Amino acid sequence: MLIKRRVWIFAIITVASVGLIPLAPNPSFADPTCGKFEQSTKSCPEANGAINNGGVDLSAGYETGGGQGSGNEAGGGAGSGAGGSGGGQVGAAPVVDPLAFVRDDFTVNCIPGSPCDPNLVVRVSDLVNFQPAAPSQTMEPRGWSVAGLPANFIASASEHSRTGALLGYPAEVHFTPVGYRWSYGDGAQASTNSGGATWAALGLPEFSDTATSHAFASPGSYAVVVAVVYSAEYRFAGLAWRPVQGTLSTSASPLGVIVGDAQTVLVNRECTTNPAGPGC
Amino acid sequence: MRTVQRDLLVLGPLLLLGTLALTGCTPEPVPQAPQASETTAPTDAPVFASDEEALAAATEAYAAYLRTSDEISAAGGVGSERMEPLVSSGLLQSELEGFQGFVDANARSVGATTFIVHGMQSAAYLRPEQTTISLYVCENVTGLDVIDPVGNSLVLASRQPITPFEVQFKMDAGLRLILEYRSAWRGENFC
Repeated sequence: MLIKRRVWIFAIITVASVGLIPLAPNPSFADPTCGKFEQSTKSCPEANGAINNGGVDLSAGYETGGGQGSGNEAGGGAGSGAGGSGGGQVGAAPVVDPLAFVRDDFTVNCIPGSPCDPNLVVRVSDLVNFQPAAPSQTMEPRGWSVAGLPANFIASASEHSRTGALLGYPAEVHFTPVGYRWSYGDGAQASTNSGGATWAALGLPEFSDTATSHAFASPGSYAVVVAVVYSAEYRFAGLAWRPVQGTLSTSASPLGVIVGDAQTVLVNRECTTNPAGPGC
Repeated sequence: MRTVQRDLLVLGPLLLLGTLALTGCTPEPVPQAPQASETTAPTDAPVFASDEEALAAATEAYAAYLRTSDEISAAGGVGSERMEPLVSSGLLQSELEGFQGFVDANARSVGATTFIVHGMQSAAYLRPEQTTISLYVCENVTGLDVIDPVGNSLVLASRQPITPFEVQFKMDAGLRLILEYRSAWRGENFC
C-alpha cells in the first residue's frame, strides 16, 4: 500500500512537470537584452517610456520588495551583498498563500489564478483594462440611398494588440476580428463574417446586392451601426499565447443615411431647363 | 522423485523472490542506515520548498548578476567574461556586446544599479532540469553615472532611470540559477 501511494504521488508530480513545460518563454517573443551601456547612458529602446505616470494598478497578486515604485529599493549592484539582504527583499508575503495545490490531477507550486496556473481561464469579462479598436465604417452611395435599392455598407477592422494589467499582472492581449453585426436603423439586423468591400472591388455594378448590403424599404433618415466582433488571445510576459474565452464587440459611430424615393418618368427635356414640362 | 526435486529447485528461487518482493509491502519497513554512496534526499523532492524560497534564490541570483554587471562597467567593460557563469550561453553574447559600448567609448560607470522585484511571474521547480523562475523587475540606474576619461558624464538628460524588465532563470547542471532571459517590458510600465 505504501508503495502504491508513493507511485501515485510520483505520477502526479510527473504530470505536473509535463504540464508546466508549455510555460517556457516563446523564443519569438525574446527581444534582445538591453545592453548595459545603452541602458546606463540612454534608455532601453524597447521599454515603455512612461515612468510612474499612466501606469496601471498592479497592487493585486504577488507584491514583493516592500511596495511599489522606487521608494523601497534594494541594492542589487556593487556594494550590496548577494547573501541575505541581496536585491529585492522578499519580506512582504504574497496576497494568496502560495501552497502547492492539486487541480485536475495537476500539482503545481503556484498561486491559483496567477500566470503560472495552467488551469487559469481568462474570459472576456476579465479584459476590463483592454479596449479594442472600433471599426471604421463607410457606405456606397456615400450617405444616401434609394428606397428599394441595395446600399453597400463596408466596415473595416484589423488585428491588433493592447498591453495592460490582466488579473493584476502585466499582459498583452491580441484581438482578431471574427465577424460584424449590423443594425440598419429600420429594425433590420444582420451578421456577416467579413466587413464587405466596395462594388468596384467586388467587380459589381452599382446598387448590386453584396454580403453587407441592405435595401431600405421606405424613405427616411436612418442611423446604421456596425459592431466588430473580436476573439482574443492573451499572454503574460514571456509566456505562450492562450485563448480568451468568449468574444467581445465594439461599435463604430452611427452612420447617417438619407433614403429617398425614385420614380422613373418620361420627360420632354431636363426638368431643370423645363420645370413645367410633362413629368417634371 | 527426480521430478519433485526439479520442481523444488524451480520453486525455491521463486519463493525467495516472492518473499523479497512482499517485504516492500510491509506497512513499516525497518529503516536502514544510509550507505556512504546513497543520498538521503528523495529523488522526487522539489528543488525549493516554496515559492518564497524560489523567489529568494532568484532575487539573490539577480543581485549577483547586477553587481557583476556594475563591476564590469566600472572597469570600462574589461573582464566581461565574468558574466559567463551567471548567464546562459544564449544570453552571453548580447551581454558582452552591451559592455563593448564602454570599451568603444573609453568610458566607465560610477555607482550602482538598484532593483526591486515587482512580482514573481511564475515558478516551476519540481525538478532541477525543469526549474524556471520568472520575475518582473524594476531596475533603477539613478545612482549610476557613465563618465569619459576626462570625467564628463555621458548620460543623456533624456535617460529613463527606471526600466521594467522581465527576467527568467533556469537551473544549470551545477544546480545554480543562471539568467536565461532578460528583456525590457514593452507594455504599460509597471514600475
